[in-house]
Amino acid sequence: MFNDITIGQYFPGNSVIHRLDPRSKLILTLAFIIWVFVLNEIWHYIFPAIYICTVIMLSGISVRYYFKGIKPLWPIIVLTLVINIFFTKGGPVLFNIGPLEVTQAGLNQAILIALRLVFLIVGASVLTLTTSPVQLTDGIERLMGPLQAINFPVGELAMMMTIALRFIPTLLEETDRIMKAQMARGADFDTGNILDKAKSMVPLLVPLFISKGRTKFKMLKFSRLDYGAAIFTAAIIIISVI
Amino acid sequence: MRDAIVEFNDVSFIYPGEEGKSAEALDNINVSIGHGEFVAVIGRNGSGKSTFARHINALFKPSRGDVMVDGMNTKDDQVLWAIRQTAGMVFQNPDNQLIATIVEEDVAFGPENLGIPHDEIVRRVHDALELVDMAEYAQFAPHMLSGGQKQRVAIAGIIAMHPKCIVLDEPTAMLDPTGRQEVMATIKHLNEDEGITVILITHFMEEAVQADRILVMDYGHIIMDDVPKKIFTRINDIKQAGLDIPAMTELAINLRAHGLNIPPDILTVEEMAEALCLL
Amino acid sequence: MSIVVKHLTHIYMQGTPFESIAISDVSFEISAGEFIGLIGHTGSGKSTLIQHLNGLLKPTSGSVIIDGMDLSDKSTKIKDIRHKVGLVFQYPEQQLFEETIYKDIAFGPINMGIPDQRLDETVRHAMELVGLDYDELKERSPFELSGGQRRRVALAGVLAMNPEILILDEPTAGLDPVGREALLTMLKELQTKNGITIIMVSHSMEDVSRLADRIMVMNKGRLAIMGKPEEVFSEGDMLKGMGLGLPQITELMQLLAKRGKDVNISIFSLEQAVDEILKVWGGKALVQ
Repeated sequence: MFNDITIGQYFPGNSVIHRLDPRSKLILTLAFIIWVFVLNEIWHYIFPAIYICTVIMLSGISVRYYFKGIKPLWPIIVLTLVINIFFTKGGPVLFNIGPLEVTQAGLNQAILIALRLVFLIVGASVLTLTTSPVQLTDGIERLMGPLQAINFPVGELAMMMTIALRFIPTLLEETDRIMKAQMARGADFDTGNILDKAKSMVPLLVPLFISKGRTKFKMLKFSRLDYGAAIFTAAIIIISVI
Repeated sequence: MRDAIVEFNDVSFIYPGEEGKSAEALDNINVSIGHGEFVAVIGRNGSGKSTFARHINALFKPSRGDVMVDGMNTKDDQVLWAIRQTAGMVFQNPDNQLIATIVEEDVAFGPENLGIPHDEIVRRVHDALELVDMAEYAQFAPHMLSGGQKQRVAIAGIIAMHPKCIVLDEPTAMLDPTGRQEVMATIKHLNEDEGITVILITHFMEEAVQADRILVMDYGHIIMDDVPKKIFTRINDIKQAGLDIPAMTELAINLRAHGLNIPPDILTVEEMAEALCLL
Repeated sequence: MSIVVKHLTHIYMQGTPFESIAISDVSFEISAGEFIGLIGHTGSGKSTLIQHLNGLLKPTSGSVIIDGMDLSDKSTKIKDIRHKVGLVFQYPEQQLFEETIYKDIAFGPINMGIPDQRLDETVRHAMELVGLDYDELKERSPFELSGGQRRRVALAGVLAMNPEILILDEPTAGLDPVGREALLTMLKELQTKNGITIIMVSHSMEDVSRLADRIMVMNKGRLAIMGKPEEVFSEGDMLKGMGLGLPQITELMQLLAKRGKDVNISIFSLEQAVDEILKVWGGKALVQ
């Protein structure tokens, strides 16, 4: 029932992209997203397209899988597309639909926004599909490390994220089971008690917050791969902007 | 006194707010479990066996009396972590115990909390997964494993903390027969080859008979404490405690009643076949 | 009410990298009033199969016909089928959600549209069937009860819809011997006294051999064997090959047969075993 959700799910593998340091991936994803939002000529998007296609190929995960991730978000994309088409004014009027007129600028803007959204989602999917949640949160924890200076609870935040991500599939299965049990008793669909499982996790969470001096099973280390990826990304961004 | 790894001295436990009416409470328990023993604890629902188990790693603390784990008193908060490291616990539901999204990261979780150096963690994780025969699944996500495999990973997570004792609270209750066999084989291996003390809470008599010693609990008391062969010949006491007799023991008793000369303390199919073929 | 399943196949997540065939070309018939034991280890497809029997899952191909109505037909009202085919999931006590026992049990009947004045009677009857005291318990919260009692509440919630077919997924899992015995006795009575067709999924060969008229064994998504207990258990090697055990009594008989004793290898109850051993060993082994 919930099998279609792929966002935030790790797809185990050992590709070049999988092996990158999570911090590199985080920074590069951020750079990619900024890049995608800075570009404002449609044809410029050929560069991020080439870039992301290369990355997808390197990740060894089927393209179909990435696009499945976009599927639940189509309504949002379509909605923004429609709003922008009709409500952005400027340039020559291309054609009319009833009282609404579609202008050159409107069409341009709509396509730009749609492209940005798609690239945003695909870019973020690369990150989550190729990085195990533990690695991801380790990366975030380390990148946010300086914030500890102002007493920001970085470690706790990272741990909360890890556990939340781990239990998404479990919660979905549980939700599915409870819904089915109720459907079997004639319900079309009704409220359930999915919180129980989360509650039973409380005793497990407690030690996380009071333990000190945790060490790491997987050490984060920048390798030549990371520097290579950074240079490649920087190069293609510069080319596209020029 | 250091011979015993787990010792209960006059231990009583009453659930808060239910003084005098709770059957789940422990009532004046005295028992001592030695290093390297394999002890099964059986008893009906509500007999107190889970409460007993939870005292061993200080999840519960006695209302009266003392529980000593490897010489440490569970009432002493200073040694709480040392106790939990000495006596690890595995629970019933395989889905609730794995915390990380990848098997090896889950096994590493305990040692990470202990502040063990990185290289040592890597070695421990590898060894623990080898020990439960799950090394080839190191990169798997927990939800892709069978119940028996998840329980073995949970056991590996405990083993990686190098405990002297492992307490399992009905670890096979939610598993199919294959999963149960896998987990039992793992437990026996830990006990026999690694010398780890095992305390197994179970509803399945065929699992209990594999232990060196059985504790039978009822209404918060330990009503029997003996080797399996002696325990199950006391049919009436066992039935009184709401438990099953292993099928072969029951058959032996019936055959004896019909005059066949068969030992009354038969537990397994092989023993029964042997005895019949000797006639 | 009869169940006919023809060439049923179900494929999960078809067309994705995670595609998996859960059941493949399964066909069988179950007649009204039968007690069927359904056996197979985890992943054999038995959970998928039972969810087809009340329309929670739709076949990828093949058909399920309940009481002459094809569940795939547009004219068949799935909701009516769900009332006739009660499905009790594993650990049903974890799926209780109302604040009182009465409300939880009444959930199904209310969805069925049972008139208010008959609701009390329906709930009372369902509670009696599972051995719960209506007056004492109806206003209590299900979460105050012990695990075994909560399971009875969940069962009553399904029985309150007055199903003609009852399907239970491992109803005794996690219960102690006394609780297990009580539940099994109750199920047998539902079949013999109330004429309900029962399909019980179980891992316990002992339980299934005692209660079931016929046993179905699922393996790797296929129906491996279906027949009377003695027929199924005589296939000891095949069952072991699927990672399934035999009842210990049957295992003993087969071991004795291998050692050259002339015993009946399809026996599974204690009484039969005592008779058989006394017959074969005869007087010579008796204590003088």
